[in-house]
Formats: sequence, structure tokens, C-alpha cells
Amino acid sequence: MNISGIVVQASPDNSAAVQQKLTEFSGVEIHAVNKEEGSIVITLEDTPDNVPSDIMMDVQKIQGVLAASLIYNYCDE
Amino acid sequence: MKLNRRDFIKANAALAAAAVVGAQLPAAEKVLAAEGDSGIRWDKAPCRFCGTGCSVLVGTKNGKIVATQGDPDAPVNRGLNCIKGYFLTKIMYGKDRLTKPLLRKTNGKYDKNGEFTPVSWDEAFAIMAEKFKEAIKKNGPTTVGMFGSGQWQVWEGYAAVKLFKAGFLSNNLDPNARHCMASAVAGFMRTFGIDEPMGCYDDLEKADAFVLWGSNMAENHPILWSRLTNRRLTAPHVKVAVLSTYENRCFDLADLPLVFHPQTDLVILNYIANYIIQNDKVNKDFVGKHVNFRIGNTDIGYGLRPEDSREKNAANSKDAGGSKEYSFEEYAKFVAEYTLDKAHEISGIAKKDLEALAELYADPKRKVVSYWTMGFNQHTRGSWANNLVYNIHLLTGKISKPGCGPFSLTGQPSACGTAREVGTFSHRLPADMVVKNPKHREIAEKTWKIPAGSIPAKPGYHAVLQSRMLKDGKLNAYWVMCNNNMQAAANINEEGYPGYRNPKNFIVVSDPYPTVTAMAADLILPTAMWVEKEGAYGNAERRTQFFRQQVKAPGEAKSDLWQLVEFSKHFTTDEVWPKELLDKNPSYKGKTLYQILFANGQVDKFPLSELQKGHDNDESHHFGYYLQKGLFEEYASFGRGHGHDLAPFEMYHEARGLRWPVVDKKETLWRFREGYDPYVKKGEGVRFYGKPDGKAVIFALPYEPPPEVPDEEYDLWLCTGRVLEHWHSGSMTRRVPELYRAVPDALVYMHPKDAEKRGLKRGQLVKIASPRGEITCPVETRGRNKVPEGLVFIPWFDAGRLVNKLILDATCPISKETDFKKCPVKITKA
Amino acid sequence: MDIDKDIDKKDKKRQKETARRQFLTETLPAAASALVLAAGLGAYQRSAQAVPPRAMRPPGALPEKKFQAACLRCGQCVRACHANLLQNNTMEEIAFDQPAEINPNASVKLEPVLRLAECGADIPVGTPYFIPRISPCRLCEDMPCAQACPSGALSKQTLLDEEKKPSIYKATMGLAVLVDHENCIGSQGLRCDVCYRNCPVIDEALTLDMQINRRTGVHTRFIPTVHSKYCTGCGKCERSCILEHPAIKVLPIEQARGELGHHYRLGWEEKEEAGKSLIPEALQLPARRPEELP
Repeated sequence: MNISGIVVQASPDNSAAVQQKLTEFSGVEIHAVNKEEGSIVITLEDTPDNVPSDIMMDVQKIQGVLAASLIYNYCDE
Repeated sequence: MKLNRRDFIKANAALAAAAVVGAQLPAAEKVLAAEGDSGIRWDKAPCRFCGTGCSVLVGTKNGKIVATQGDPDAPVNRGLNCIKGYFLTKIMYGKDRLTKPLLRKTNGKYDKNGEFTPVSWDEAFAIMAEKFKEAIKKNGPTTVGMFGSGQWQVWEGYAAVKLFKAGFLSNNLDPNARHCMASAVAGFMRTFGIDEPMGCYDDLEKADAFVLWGSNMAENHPILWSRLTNRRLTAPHVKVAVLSTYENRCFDLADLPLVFHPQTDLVILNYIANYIIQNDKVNKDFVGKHVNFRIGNTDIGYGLRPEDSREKNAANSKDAGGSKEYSFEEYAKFVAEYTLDKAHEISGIAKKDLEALAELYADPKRKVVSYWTMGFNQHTRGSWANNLVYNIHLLTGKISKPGCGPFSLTGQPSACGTAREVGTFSHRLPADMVVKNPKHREIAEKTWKIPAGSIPAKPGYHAVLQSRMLKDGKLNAYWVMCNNNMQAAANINEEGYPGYRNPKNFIVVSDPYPTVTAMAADLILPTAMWVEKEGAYGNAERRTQFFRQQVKAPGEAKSDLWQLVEFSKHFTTDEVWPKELLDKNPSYKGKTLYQILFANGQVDKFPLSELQKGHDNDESHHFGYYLQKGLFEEYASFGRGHGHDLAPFEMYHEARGLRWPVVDKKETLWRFREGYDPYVKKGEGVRFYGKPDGKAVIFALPYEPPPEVPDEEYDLWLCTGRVLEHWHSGSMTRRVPELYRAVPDALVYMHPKDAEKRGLKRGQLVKIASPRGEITCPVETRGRNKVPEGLVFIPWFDAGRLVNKLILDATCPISKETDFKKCPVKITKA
Repeated sequence: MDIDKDIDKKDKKRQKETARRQFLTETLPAAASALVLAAGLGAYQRSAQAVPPRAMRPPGALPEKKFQAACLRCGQCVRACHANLLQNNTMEEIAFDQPAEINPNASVKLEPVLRLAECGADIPVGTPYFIPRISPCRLCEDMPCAQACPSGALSKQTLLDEEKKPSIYKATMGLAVLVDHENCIGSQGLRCDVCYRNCPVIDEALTLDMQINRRTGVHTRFIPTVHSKYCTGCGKCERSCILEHPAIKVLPIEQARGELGHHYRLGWEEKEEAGKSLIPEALQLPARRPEELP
């Protein structure tokens, strides 16, 4: 099991588009959004068809994302 | 709301991330709140540590112990725990828990000097059985032996007794309680003819005075100390006297704080008896009806090797326990020489304090309880010290009634329940019987359904003798279970360690952790602990407490019980019993020890359907019947009707412990007194029914010096002991990070003047040496123990500083218990 | 035959030695140049959490403002502290993880007492401080840190006892406070008192207030009680507290202490100090009773 808590920082203008993109990734769940600041709280969990570290990288590449910070990670066998 | 671990972790992850940006996540918070304590199963168990016998509730979830709490309804502790009990959850989850058998191997084959290599249980038992058979075949059953434990479950001790005494026909089985309670046992048996205290913890709320003899109860029986303190605080007339060779934490509460010179407790005890007689405070009616007098043999040696001059020169080293009839008048004359002046001179205690102490006992209106632990028991005259304190209680009749009595506190959770009651000693059988007595052997042979004459009459090797016989190559296949004797026994370098590493010997150690003992062995067996199995402990007040298996042991770890019973399958009678015995009893031929000892129609008679639903019982499922119940009921048949009545098996799973004898569904709180004890008939008043004539014995016994005293070179007394934070050798508590942080290492407690004389500063590393070895540790001139000049104190929990390397393996010649309390040492800069 | 020289502790000893050498070669030179990076990021984060609201200074430090002015940031005190600890083998093996002593595979982490503040901390860069929860002051009787101070920012002469000799037990680095009665398990009646038994000034700086446990009716609550007159602020209590977060903490004295109104005195203390009543012997008349005994 591999579960991460991540803060995605987007520019406030792009926030809605980024959220839309995020929902398309397998294992990603949006928990909170701060519209004024553009920060989005997500969790990322491993599913049979994803590799968490790849998704983490892909999230960073979304248009309008300034940074994705890993805040919490849980990992066991 | 039912949630799985994934939901829980996800909620945690979301909350952690949200916290960074200051966002609120009501949904995730709800998940966590619902998590909380939901889904935890709570069940009762006694604490794993000391003999107090506090009860806890164990919280299990997802196959793991996740929490504990003091049982608020337990009579002993009412919801409280000490700092060790607080951390019970963590003792099973040390990172270096053993999960596979480990055998010393080189190039894939067993080699005494090889490296520990993981092997299967089959391979482990195969090599072990081979070594046991080889030893028995070569030189008979005295070449195999076992060192067991007062931490064994009742049925584990009982299975071990059967395996060795009725299976291998060897009495070489002894428990670590030999280092702990043997002198108390010898004292009880000599004076009363039956083991264990007559009173119970209820005395704590009823006594008018408490006298502590060599017991640091404040640190080592913390919850009982809390009760004693409460009694002192709530009843201003109550007095507390504390006797020790240094000031320990009990001195905080002491009305009479008494520091005496090592070994002189014998003088003080005789002085008190003399004071009682001189001041006409003898309870003549009680003494006349219930007491006999005897004089014990003197000059009895020190339990050293026979070639030691101290043994050769001792007149009665061969008959240390012998005694002759005596009269009250002779006894009065005998103790008359222990005058106030003499007692003061030898013990170093002020005269007015000695008188005040004696008066506590003498005053007929004052109810007195005496408590003692290792100060009395670990003593080269330990059995005498026990007898002498009984003398005082018997002279005054202050015994066997509420608020009065002598009470030995036990250090292990089942020193009473397993080691003593089951009779795992080299000279004992269940229910206080002994191997020397032909009638007792006959009873055991009949109960166990083994041929008459099977059990050897000669006592086996006791703990200290086992070490010597290992070294001498006379004990060759040796199993150490549920203890850490390499750290706990005296004279490690000269006796214990060479014995383990003797190429003639094969040493097996069963333990959950890689202890010092395990690392010195040839084969290590990984062991299930505490609530990883169904268990039964018996505490210091005769309270038997049961618990169920809560979780599974990690990896391939197996309980001691499983190991003992499964191992018996590897032997047939033809391999280990003498030919003459089998020829006389041909029906036993070709059977395995398992068939004879366990599948005997008694132990295997309770079906699996009787097991509690919802709990594991790995042993019973493996063997196919309710193993623990079968063993318990067979064992209990020894004591029922003979003063040791245990209740039916199920009753213990329902009750929060019961104090034996349990007769007509009633506990017994004070033994030997009419109305309280079912074995004392109407009109008898008091009857010490352990003795045939119902009378206890007052023994005339003198002061004799210890085997070694400080001299010019080794100029300080060393006393060893314990601390509240760690239990015994620390193999469990030192794996709890918080406890390790609280007290990481052993210190040598030293008087500031002694330090100054040697140019030592507080915190400095020093070398402590005796003729047998040396250790280094930092000096502490302040802190919890305040030692007098000329004496130092070092606790023995620290595996990094094996203080028992320094200690001489001298014992009380009667009880064979080692004196860990007085050893001359020298201290220099490291 | 000596068990310690044989199979038994080889691994542990070797590890300890290596760790110690590393510490000597890597940390000490760095210390002088005001860096604690050798402690590693993990340790830094932990220490950041454990840092009290104001830096705990070594014994004999001048009052904070004067201390900051006088301290040369030379690191001599830190060096002296480390050298002394290594010599006496009393570095704490930090036990937030597995006890290294008994698990030869666990990494040994030796924690120094005094460290130098680094950039970014709230503490002025390069000044010495210690973190009680991680490594409390050992109260060395000869005070090597103060002895090494070239500037007088640390001075043994501020710690004179009744005989006018410097005494470490006069140190007032801070004051221990039982900040959380509710989570202190001793206050709840459990038998802990770990802080008390670990106090180097036991029975003076820390005592146990014994109170009846009314809930059980038969037990006692042993409540750790600090006495400011004797507390050195060494932090051994905070270090040893077995809770997840300590219930007893060392605070700067000015934060820890209340102050009695300047207009009021405690009568019994004044009388005890004076050895007699503060006013002349007052007149006392006998009381009339129903039957006077002769």
C-alpha cells in the first residue's frame, strides 16, 4: 500500500482546469480547494494500474501547476 | 461506520496535506474520529512483569495488540499500572524479534563455532533430539537438563516437569526462581511444612506497622507500594520501618529508616526475638499450642564447589538443613547473647532505633506485616533469614490473621503459580511434594500413569550446579527456556559462559529476543510471548489468573508449551528409558514420550469444542484437543484435597483471579486460621497443617559471616538490584524506546566521599572489578539510591554491563540460592 | 574467558566505536564554524520541534541580553562539552528508535549536549544552547563548558555555593514545570515518577507529593513537584518523561515563574527564616473550662 498526501499549487486562474485534469488520474482524490490561493489538497493512492511516482511527476507537468509538494507518504508491503 | 486501514491512512494523508495550506477537511476528520477505538476487542490478562499480579485489559485489532489499560475492576490494581505495565503494548514488537529457529552452522552443517543460520523447526528439533539421545545413551539421564522459569505459564512448567521427570527420567530441571524465591521456599517448608505466604494483599489496608527487610518495594512492587503508602497516609498511627544496606526509594516514607551493614540482618532478627523474650512479650498461649522449637546445624558452608577450602572446612556443609529438638528455655538462652549492645555494634544501627523496631513487633496491640524480597532471599544464609523472621511472628502470635504476618514478595509473575506450586525445582514434584520421598514419587507415577520406580529419587542439578556441571562436561544437552540466565546468574566468566561454550555440550535457548543467553547458545528457538498464547500466572498472594490467546506470534515463533509437547514426539521409550524398566513394564515399549506424557487419556480428554469462540489457541488446534485444560486438570488433581485446591479450569477464565485453596467456591485469604481456612477444623483456632502435629517450628540459628568481606584490595561492598523502569534483565523493557530513554544504562551508585577518595567525579567512567571479572560504567554520586560509605550499588538490567560477572556463585547451602547482594570489589578510573 | 571479549558484544562495540570516530572527525571541526549539519536533516527537524521558546544556555551563562553581547561565538564551550562527554562515554544514544545497545543492527546515534545555533533558527547564530528533550545538561561538576569560555559569557563565578566555591548545583539554566497534570500518568495514580528518580537533585529539586487516590480508595498518587530553589534546569526530567510529548518541561525561569505580590509575605516562611515570631511574645490568657483539674 502506498498513499500520499499532496498539496498542488496552481495559479488561481487555472485552478478549475487543473482540478479537471487531476480527476483524470487513476488513484487521485481531491479533498479541498482554496480558490483564492489556488492550492488543491489531493491524496494519491496506488491502484493496480498506476505507479504513484509516475503520477506524481505527471501532476507536476499539468499546464498551470506551479508545484506539487509531497506532504505525507505512507508505504508498506 | 466501518472502514478499512486504507481509508484510515488516506484520511491521515489528506489531513496532513490540508494542514499545510490551512484547509478544513470535515469528511476526513470524521473518518479518523470514527476510527478511534472502534473495532478494538478488549479482554483481560495479568501484567507480564512482576509478582504483584496487576490485571490489564488488552486491546486487539487487526491481529495486533494496539492498546492496554489497567483493569479498573481488578482487585489488586484497580485500573492502575506502573511504568512497565503502561508499556505492555510495546514489549512484543521489538524490531529484533526472533521469527525463525537459528542454528550455528558452517558450510551447511551444525558447528559449535559456526554462525547462526535460519533453519526449519524440523531441522532444529532433529539436531536437538539427536544431541539429547546421544547424551542419554552415553552417560544416562543426568546428562540432560533444563533451566526454566517463574515466567512460564502454569501448564508450561507442568509440561516441562513431565517431560523431564517422567519422560527423560531426569530431575535436572530447575527454574530461574532458584535465583529469586528458593530461600523463601526453604524457609516456609522448614518452618511450616507448606509453601507460600499465609496472608494476602488485604493486609496492606489492615496492618498497623510494616517492616521491610531487604525489599525495595517502592521500585520493584510499585502498585503494592502505592497501597502501603495510602495506608500510612490515611492512618497516622501506622509506622513504616525500612531495613536495607543502602537508602532506597522506600526510605521516603520510612518512620524508621535503618541502614545496616551487609549480613547483619541475622543479628537484628535474633536481637528482636531476644527483646520480645526479655520484655515478657511472648504470646505464651500461642507458642504453647502451636509451636515447636529446634536448633539448626551451623557452620554449613557457602554452597561453593566442594574443593573450595570454605566448603572443606565447614563442619556441616554435608547436612546444612539438619536440626535437633530444642526447648523454649534453651532457645531463650540461645538468643540472649544478641543484646542491644551487640546488635548495635555489629549492625551499625542506633540503639534507640533497634529498640523502636523491636517494640513494633513486641507491642501486643500492634498488627505487623513483614515484607521481604531479595535482601533476605539472595543471601548465603537466606533460608535462615526467612526462618528468623517467622520466629518473631510466631513468638508474638502475629501471624495468619488480618493485618498480621510474614510475607515474601515475589519478583516474577508466576514464581508462585508455576515454579513453586507446579514444582519445577530439581528436588520437587507438584503440590509441595519432593522426589526424595518415595510416597510422593509413587503418587506422581500413578497420576502420570508411568511405571513404578521411574522417577529418580536423587534431586537433580539445581541452577548453580547446572552451570558447574556444564563447565565440567557432565551436563551435555541443555535447554534454557523463558529466562536470561547468562545475564542473571553469578560468576558468568568462570562458570556460566565456559559451560555454554564447552565443546562437549549442546545448548538450546528458547526466547522471543536475541538475549545474551541466546547469543551464547548453539540453537535458538523463536518463542511466542505473553498473550500470543493462552496462559495462567500465580502471583505472590496465591492468586491464580488466566488469560486467553489474543494474537498470533510473529513468523514461526512457537509457545514454550508447543515446543515442550512437540519435542516429546521425537523420542521413544526404547531410546531414553533403561532396559530393565521396560523389561519389567513391556506395555510401555515402543511408545513415544508424547503418547505417554500427553496423549495419555487425561491430558487429551477435552475436545476442541470447549475452546472459547473468537480466540485462537494455536497449541490446541495443532495437537487436536484442549491441551491447556487437560494439563491443568491433571496438574490440579495433585493439590485438590491436600491444601492446594485449585478451582475448576473454566472458573479462572471467568474470575479476575482466585486465591487458593479454593474450596466450596470460596477463596482463602488467611491460611491456618479457623474460619478463614477450610483446612482448620472448628475449635482448633490455629493449625499449621503443613506439619504432621500442626505446629510450626521456631529455629535457633546464629549469625555467621559471609564468604567474602572487603579487604585492602577489594575494599567496597557491591550490592546489585533493580530499577522501576526495567524488568529483570531488560530483554523486554529495554526494547521499549521510552523506557530505554528514561534509563538507558546502568550506573554505579557511590558515596560522594568514596568517589572523592578515588579522585572520581560524578559522570566519570570507572572500572569495577572483582577477582572474577570487571565492567565499566559511569559513577553516580547522587540520584535515587543513597549508599553509605564503603558500599556501591549497580542494577543488573543492562546487557551492556554484565554486573554478574563480578559476583561469586556462593549460595545459601540449604536453598541453593545465590547471594547477589554482597561482593567485595575495587573501583578505579576506566 | 570473558564473555564481553568474546562473541557477544563484538558488533555493538564496533558500531559504537565507529559512530564515535565519525562524530569526532566530522562534527567537532564543524562545530567551531557554527554548523550543526552533521546532525542531519531528520535530527534537525526533531530538534526544531523540541526547541524551547528561548534557547537553553549552558550553566553559568550571563542574563540573556548580556550573554548575547558577551558571547564570541567561538564554539569553545561546545568543544569542551563534547570532549568531556566522549571521555566519559555518556553521550545519549538517542532512543526514539530501537535501543542500539541490544540491537546490533540498529544505527547508533550519539547526541551531543551543547550545540551551536545555525542560520535560520530563532537563536542568534553561533551561540551555544541545548535541547533538554534530546540531550539534557549532564551537570559536570567541574563545568568544562564554562571553564573553556574566553569571554566571560559563561562564568563559574556566578554559581557560588555557601562556601563561596563554584557549584554546578547552583545553576539556573531554566526551571522544570509539570505543564500537564492531566496527561502526567503519575498524577493519575500510575506508578511512574521517572522524572523524579532521574533528577540529579532528587528530593530537593523534585519531590513526590503523595496524595490519596480517592478513586481506588486504597492507592496513592505520587505527583512530581518542582522546587525552584534547587532546580538547575538541566532538563533530565524532560528528557526522561515517557510520554509522547513530555508533561514536564524546562522553561526559561521568567516564563516559568509567577510572582507574589510585593505587598505580601508568607507568614510561616517568614517565621521559619527568622527562627521566631516577628513580633514580641504575645500575651496569652488561659481559657475558662467547666472543671479545672488541680
